[in-house]
Amino acid sequence: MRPGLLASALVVARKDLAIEFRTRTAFLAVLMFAILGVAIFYFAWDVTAVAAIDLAPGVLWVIFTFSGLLSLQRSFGVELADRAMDALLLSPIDREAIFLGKALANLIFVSGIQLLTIPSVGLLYNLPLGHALPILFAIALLAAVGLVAVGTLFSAMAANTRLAELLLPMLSLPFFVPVVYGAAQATSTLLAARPMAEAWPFLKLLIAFDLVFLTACTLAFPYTLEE
Amino acid sequence: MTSASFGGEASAPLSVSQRAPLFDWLFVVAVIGMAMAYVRAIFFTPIEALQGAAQKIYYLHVPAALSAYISLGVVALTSIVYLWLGDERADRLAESAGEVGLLFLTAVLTTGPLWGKPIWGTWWTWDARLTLTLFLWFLTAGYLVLRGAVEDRAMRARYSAVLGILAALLIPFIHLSVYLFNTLHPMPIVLKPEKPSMPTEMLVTFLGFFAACTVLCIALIRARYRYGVERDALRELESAGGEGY
Amino acid sequence: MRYANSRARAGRVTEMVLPPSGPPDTSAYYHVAYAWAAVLYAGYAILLWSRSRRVRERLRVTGGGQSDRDA
Repeated sequence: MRPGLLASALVVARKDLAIEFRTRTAFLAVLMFAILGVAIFYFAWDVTAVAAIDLAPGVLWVIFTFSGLLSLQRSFGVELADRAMDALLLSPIDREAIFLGKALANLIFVSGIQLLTIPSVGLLYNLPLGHALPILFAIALLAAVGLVAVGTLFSAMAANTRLAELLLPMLSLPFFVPVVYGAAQATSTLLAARPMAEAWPFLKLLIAFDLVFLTACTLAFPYTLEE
Repeated sequence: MTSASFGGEASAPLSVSQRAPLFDWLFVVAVIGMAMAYVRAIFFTPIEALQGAAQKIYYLHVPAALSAYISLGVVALTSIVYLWLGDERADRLAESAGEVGLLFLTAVLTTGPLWGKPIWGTWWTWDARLTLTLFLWFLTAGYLVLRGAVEDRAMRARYSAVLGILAALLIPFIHLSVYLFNTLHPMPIVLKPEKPSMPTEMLVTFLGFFAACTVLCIALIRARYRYGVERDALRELESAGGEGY
Repeated sequence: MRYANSRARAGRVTEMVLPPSGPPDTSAYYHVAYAWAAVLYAGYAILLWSRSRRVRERLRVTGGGQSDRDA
């Protein structure tokens, strides 16, 4: 009997994460990149002209995008070695479950990076995050779902092409725009201590994007595999 | 025997001389139409009082945008058809429409600022239409780069179709993002011409350009499609020749 | 009103008479745009034609070579 969709997805996710955390190299490398990026942005701006609190949402979500891309790059690289993908495809689980499993693993990876990057921004930019932190993490999770849904599909496609590292950012970035925009606006509303009701349109944008693209990419994934 | 199909394909492989020509009567009609539209816009349409000669760029810019949207609509539809039916002709049509779409998008993005600078006082503005067009440009360029990067034909067709459909799904989200952005941050525009109520002469020029540009779009897609047929025939021959050794 | 009249009587009314200005001269943009669009469309058509010519040439060569081998 074929295992259920969610159960299979969890198996795939656990496998990916196990491989990842055996060495932890990739996680640490992406984390270093993210924190360095945050630091570099600080030097790129005239902090006397622009208040850190105005700068922070932009920095946070741009870094989120690029560290997210880095995280995604390695996701299908895992299977390329030893044609492990064939073994995965021969196993009796739905193609969609493979996608969901990989996406889930990517989600945990990206969220882990965010969990550490957001407080770093607070620290380096001297922001009174405090009570805003849980809501920020929630926004980050919503954004990560969207990023990971599209990014996992495109990294699967890009892995089979000649220009893999260039193609993934080029294809994904237009798709990240609604995610980044929604998250950044919600974040700046939050940091400016304005009522969260103002941020609701942006959160709706994020949620709608997540639902539409998680569904669409899951359905599209089987088409990206060889017959 | 050449068939009368859109792409000029026939059931039996044709010799080179028998293939449908790239630029046939439809293209000639398109060229004549565009030439007539040009002449009418340049010599027989009055200069608008408030905006000066630059207003005439509008006759060029808006029909190009329509042609771009038509082309990209074709890409989205043929992508769905390909995933559903697996017909390689749908994929070839998608490829052709994608290239032509990029051409018209480039025309829109270059004539837009040329119109915007004298009329609005700024080269660029993040208003809904220009922003969307910019993102469509990136998506279409990405589509064509993806096609160039995949060597296996079936995989290329499938990947392109997936991207085409996802890009179509993205459009409303970009639109919504821009709408939210503009309602929150209204752009200061130096000169804001109210929508001109067009006198008949200008309207005729406008419609003439619309017609000519649309015919040009279809003619170019068809020409590009026929090129695609030839190129695929060549690839078949070359790979078959390789196996012969 | 009174002020204007008194100044008029003084004969030193300076009136700024603007010449009736026509539309601003934005013709440079318009010329560039029309020329550029024509270049763009014609350029693409020429590009298509030259790609097609190359492919047809190679089809002729490959097709000819193929039949020789079969014979």
